[in-house]
Amino acid sequence: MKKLNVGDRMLLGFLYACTGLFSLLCLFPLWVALVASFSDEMSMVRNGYGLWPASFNLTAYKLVFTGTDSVMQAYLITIVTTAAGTLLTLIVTSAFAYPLTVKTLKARRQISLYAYATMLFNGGLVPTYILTTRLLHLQNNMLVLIIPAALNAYNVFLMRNYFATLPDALAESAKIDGANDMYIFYKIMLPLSKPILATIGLFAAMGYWNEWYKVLLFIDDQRLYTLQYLIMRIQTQVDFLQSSLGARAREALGGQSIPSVGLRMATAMISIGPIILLYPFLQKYFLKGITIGAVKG
Amino acid sequence: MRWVLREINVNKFLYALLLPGILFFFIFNYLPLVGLYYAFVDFNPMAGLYGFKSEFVGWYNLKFFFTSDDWIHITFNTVFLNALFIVTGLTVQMLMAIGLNELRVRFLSRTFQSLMFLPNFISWTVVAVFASAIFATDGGLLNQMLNAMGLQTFNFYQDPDVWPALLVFLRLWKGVGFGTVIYLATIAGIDQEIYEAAKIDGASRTQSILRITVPLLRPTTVMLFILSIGGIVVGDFGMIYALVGDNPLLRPTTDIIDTYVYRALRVDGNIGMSAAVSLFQSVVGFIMVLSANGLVKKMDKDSALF
Repeated sequence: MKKLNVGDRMLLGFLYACTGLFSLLCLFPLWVALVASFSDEMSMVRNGYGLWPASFNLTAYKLVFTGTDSVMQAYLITIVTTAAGTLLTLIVTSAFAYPLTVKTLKARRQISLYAYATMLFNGGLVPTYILTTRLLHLQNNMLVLIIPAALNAYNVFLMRNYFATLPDALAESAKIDGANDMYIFYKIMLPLSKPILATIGLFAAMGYWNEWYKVLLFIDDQRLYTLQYLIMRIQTQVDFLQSSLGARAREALGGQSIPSVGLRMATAMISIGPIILLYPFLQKYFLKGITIGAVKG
Repeated sequence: MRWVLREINVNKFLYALLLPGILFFFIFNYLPLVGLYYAFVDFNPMAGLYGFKSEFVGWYNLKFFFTSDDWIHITFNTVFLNALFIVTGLTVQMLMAIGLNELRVRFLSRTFQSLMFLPNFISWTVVAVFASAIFATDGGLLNQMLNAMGLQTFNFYQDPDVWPALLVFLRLWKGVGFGTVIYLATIAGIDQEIYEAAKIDGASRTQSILRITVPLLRPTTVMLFILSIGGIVVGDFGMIYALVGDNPLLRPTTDIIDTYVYRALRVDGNIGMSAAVSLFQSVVGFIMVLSANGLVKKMDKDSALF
């Protein structure tokens, strides 16, 4: 390979150190939390957090899965809202974006502007709060976690820009063959748009999966908590889960004390589990999505 | 009128596709604008439909906000924290992107990038759980280290002065991987011939980076900088609320406009005030975005938002 002078070698060493250390640092908290989720309460109290589990203890996970229904219930709500929300996002966004690329639609510019303008202003928290609770009556309703986040102008324009790259001739020849716009959209354009659907779908799914702000504002019913909100409650109120631990929990504990830190860490780990599993896939499409967005927003 | 009906008839399927979205934007983005009126009333939930018959008090709520010490305090915190995030974020992102691009071992470069990108997917609530493992008073890793060095336990959750630094750190942890992507794409777009030519002229790697890569990244940096300045009065509620919560001890440095508005609405029940502060934020934010976009348009038409 090419020879490097001393300065270059030092620089390269420096860059290896920077990127290497930073990426280890990115992994570090996950590791500490993972270790803590396997630690028993006694050693946590005695030694605090560590880099290696003093003992390999599954009590926290047992409790999360069998000792309480709260975590599984929140998991279910999170999965349902994520699936429904992502699907709704894709349907509404693509249906809104496609007509904006059809040249024969006269009001195309005005409607684009109508969508664009929403990026510039918002009514703020109070009007949104009153709208949601008093006009739409969505308080303590799972729909509040699904519907309001389903459409935003940014996604519309990402998708519109993608549709605009598909050749006009496709739609024109289908039209000559007698197809209507609905058919063209559904049977021709959508199947050609899988990459952008995947990208926007993943962005949306990520947003829904990590949703807790709307729960904070609009949901009091514990059965409708999302996983992230549950984690926040456990974090701010250490005994939050413990009050829901029933007889089955005592069985799972088998005489040990309740691992309060372990419970918190195990719940956090479970919530990011699917993300880690899907990570290669997520990364690929997210990288694509960011560069699409950066090239033209 | 006639041609409108004709147009709708000709493109009826297209308008049918547009309809859900049009309704959606109307309900969730345009309708709340009517509620800006709440900023000018002494809100009474019982007064008329949706409290619209509440007593009109004009500029009272805004005046009250601007005569209190709060407004300087929360505006300063919002802008100051965002400015810290923007400057540190852009610097570290650029450094990491250049670093990743220079690594000779492709496998390492890819692995490092994957690791850096991972925190982006983790929500602030989980970051808060992780943060407690590191900063906790009882058994937190940092305090264990301090104790091991013979120093006293430091209570991070009671000392507001360290929080701007902690927030910057956590923000970098979560956001840098995402930010490097745009820089890496820009670097990948640089014409390789420039580097070849520099090499023939005897330039070292260090010189190529400092004289070619960094200057060519400047337009991207300026653009990202200006676009983030557009959002400088909009705080990250999710981050602050998940990490700090309702902890009043940390408010001196972490209370931002968004947490203040939330508290006014949900904790103090001062709805008129909450709406007024939001209005202030929206107006300033609107001006910031428009000017940022105008500036960007002047420099590079294609990077402008609209």
